[in-house]
Amino acid sequence: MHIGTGLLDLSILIPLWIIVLLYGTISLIKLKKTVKNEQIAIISVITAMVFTLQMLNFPILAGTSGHLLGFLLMAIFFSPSTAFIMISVILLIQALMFGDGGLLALGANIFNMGIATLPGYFTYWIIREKTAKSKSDNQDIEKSNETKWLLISVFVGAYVSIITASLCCGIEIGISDNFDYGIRLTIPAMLGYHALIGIGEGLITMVIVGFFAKYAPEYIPPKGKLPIWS
Amino acid sequence: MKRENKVVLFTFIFTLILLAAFLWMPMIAGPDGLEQVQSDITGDDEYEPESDFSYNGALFPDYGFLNTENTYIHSWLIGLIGSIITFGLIFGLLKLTLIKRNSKEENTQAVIEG
Repeated sequence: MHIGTGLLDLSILIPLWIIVLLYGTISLIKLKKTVKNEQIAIISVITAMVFTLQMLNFPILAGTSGHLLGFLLMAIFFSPSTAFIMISVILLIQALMFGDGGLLALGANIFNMGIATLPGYFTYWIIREKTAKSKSDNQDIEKSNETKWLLISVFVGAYVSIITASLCCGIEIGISDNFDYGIRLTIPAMLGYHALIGIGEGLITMVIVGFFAKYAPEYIPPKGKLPIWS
Repeated sequence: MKRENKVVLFTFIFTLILLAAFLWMPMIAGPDGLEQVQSDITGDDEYEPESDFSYNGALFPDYGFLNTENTYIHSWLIGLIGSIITFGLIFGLLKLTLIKRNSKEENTQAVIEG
């Protein structure tokens, strides 16, 4: 979903850059207050992991492929504001080092993948926080119920994050003067393909979070302590 | 976290990085969702919007590397290089941010202690 150079005009690029810079500054200030020294290594490793996973394309339909976006994955482990910084670093490297996504369009790409994906995190948050506890006193049953809802919330949240990001991307290219086709064409087309890509995003995110839930549950904030934003 | 779980966890992440780096290139042949949308709407498979601005400073444009023919070695190396750079940049950024915070906290503590 990396928008290349020339697809968006300046009337779209400039406001998105302003939003991203303001949001990034607030996120960095929050990160400074909330991230602990011992978290630096795991944040860096997971950012590198998401960078590589973003390169792994999976086939979806008639020669089209999709790839992991990874925002929800990072937001689950840390917080949406930290995940924003992580995804910004990934996109910056992809644009500067590999020419993937335009440099001018970097603000739009960061917006789409780091801010437009927030409804996905909120969906995850609501499902996890609002699901009722099982009435069983058995700890094993309680734990498996908790894991079941964790995985459901992760899948749904990841799916929603792809849909909202592709919706924003569809709107941006649809209203751009540089692309002669309006939102009536771009939005359905973007949503159509990404409705399938979202399934891949949901499954990959679910597998990784499931692995952490089994071997390193302390990296997944428990119900009641989920950060809303930072 | 138990030491054995820590080992399993880092092995898992490292394996994912290696596997993804190894596999991405052969699977990348198809266009992604946005590229497919552009080609569907414009009817041009190689659609490239015109632009006054172009950036030619990318070290590995389009993930190209040493013009090697072997896609597996190529993808593995480029994936590894990318993940190392990503690791280094975010690690450095966080260290810098937190060092500033720590030195500020130390100064405040020193002032309080007189």
